[in-house]
Amino acid sequence: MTDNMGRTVVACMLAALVLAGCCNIIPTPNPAPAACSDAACFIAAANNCEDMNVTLSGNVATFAYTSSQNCVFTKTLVSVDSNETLEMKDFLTGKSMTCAYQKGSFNPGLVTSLVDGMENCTGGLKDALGELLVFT
Amino acid sequence: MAGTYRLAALALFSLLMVQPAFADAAPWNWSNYTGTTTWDVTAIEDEGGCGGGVYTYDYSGVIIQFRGGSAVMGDTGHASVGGTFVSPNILHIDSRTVADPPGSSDLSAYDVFFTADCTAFATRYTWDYSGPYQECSGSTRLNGVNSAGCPKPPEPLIPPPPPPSTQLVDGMISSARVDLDRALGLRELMETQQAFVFQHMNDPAYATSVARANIQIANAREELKTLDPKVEAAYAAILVRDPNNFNANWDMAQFKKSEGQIPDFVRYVNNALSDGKTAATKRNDLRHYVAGQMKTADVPTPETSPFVRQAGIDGDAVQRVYGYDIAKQKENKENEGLNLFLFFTSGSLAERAVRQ
Repeated sequence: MTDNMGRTVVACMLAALVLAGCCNIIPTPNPAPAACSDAACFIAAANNCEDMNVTLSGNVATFAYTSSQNCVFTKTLVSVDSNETLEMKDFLTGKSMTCAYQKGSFNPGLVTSLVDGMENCTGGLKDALGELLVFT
Repeated sequence: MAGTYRLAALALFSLLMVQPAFADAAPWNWSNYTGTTTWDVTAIEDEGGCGGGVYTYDYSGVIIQFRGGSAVMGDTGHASVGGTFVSPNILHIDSRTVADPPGSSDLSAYDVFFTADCTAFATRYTWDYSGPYQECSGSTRLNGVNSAGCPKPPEPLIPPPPPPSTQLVDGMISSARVDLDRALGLRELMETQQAFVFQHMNDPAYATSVARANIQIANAREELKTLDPKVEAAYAAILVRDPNNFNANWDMAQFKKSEGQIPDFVRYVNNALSDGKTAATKRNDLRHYVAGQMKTADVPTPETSPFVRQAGIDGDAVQRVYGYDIAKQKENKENEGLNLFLFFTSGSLAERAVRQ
């Protein structure tokens, strides 16, 4: 092998090495946050003002929760337990409330409780729950 | 001849001296009436532009306060509102913006036409709704009927005896509630619009709506600068006369909560609920109100509804509301539900529910 050919081979090998290294440092987009499937995951995402939504079924009702990058939380009552009367279903189903909060200060009670934290929210769900509290 | 002249002079003198049997009376109409009347109103809401249909709502016992040249109409779906008579039986209402959770609605100006026999009125206005999920337009038609007919003639010139003090205070509260309702409505509008702004402020598709919402918030804040002291002064005058008046204390509680003055809110709540008999009556009023909302004979209880039972358990577990320790408020088990209701719900709902 002549010197020129050797130099060419070395140059190609170096180039290959560089390219291999480049491929390893080309930035990849941050992966989208994984979808949540439980309350703890959603609460963490909401606290961090991430775009997230989840539907969770509890003892007495199923709620849909959303959080956004603007630190706005929405809670919607999707359905109540089948043991409730038709009037309760009509009264509550589909009602929602919206709450703005500071990043890092999301109240977990908004997810884990029917009423905790709702004084800082607005919407038909808040009023409906408040009305029912009189008779508890 | 002299006798004839004397007789003629006497007749002429008599004619000149006779006073008219009656003065020309101003014809009666709503614009020169002062008093309160009650109406049954049918509201026909056309929500076709919003993806809905045409809905009919009946409101019974809607109060209209006439103030000789102006009037205040009770809530028929878009809050109570005041207007000015532009002719004997036509009341003009200016355009306005009202909270319409989860958004708000801009209502057009409109004229309310009263019939000359005092038995009916009719009007129509359009509205533009703006909310977190949609913007759309529609219209509302109001038809009111009043079986009582025209009110009695004006009071005689002889001043009536002073009314009993309870009637006087009730009248003062009724008058003060017009401004109170306006103040509560403005604050709730600000809350709703602020939540809308937070939600959509970085979305170019909502730029126009966000700008409009910010203007509405600024306008509301400006109006409250003069309205708040007026409400405060009106209720101060009432509570000087009757410090333990349930309605006045209840109303001030809502007002203070809307201002974020939670210790004052608690003080007025406790004053109101110290009247146990009236508190029990109001709890019953709430019962009827909620049953009406649910279109059911009676409200659900922890015994009949797992959801209500859980709400009670969760309500018991709450320690702080607005950062305020509510343990003491829950000590009186009989009023615990009312306390939680007052802490958690909007002021305008608390007012609607007890004005049955």
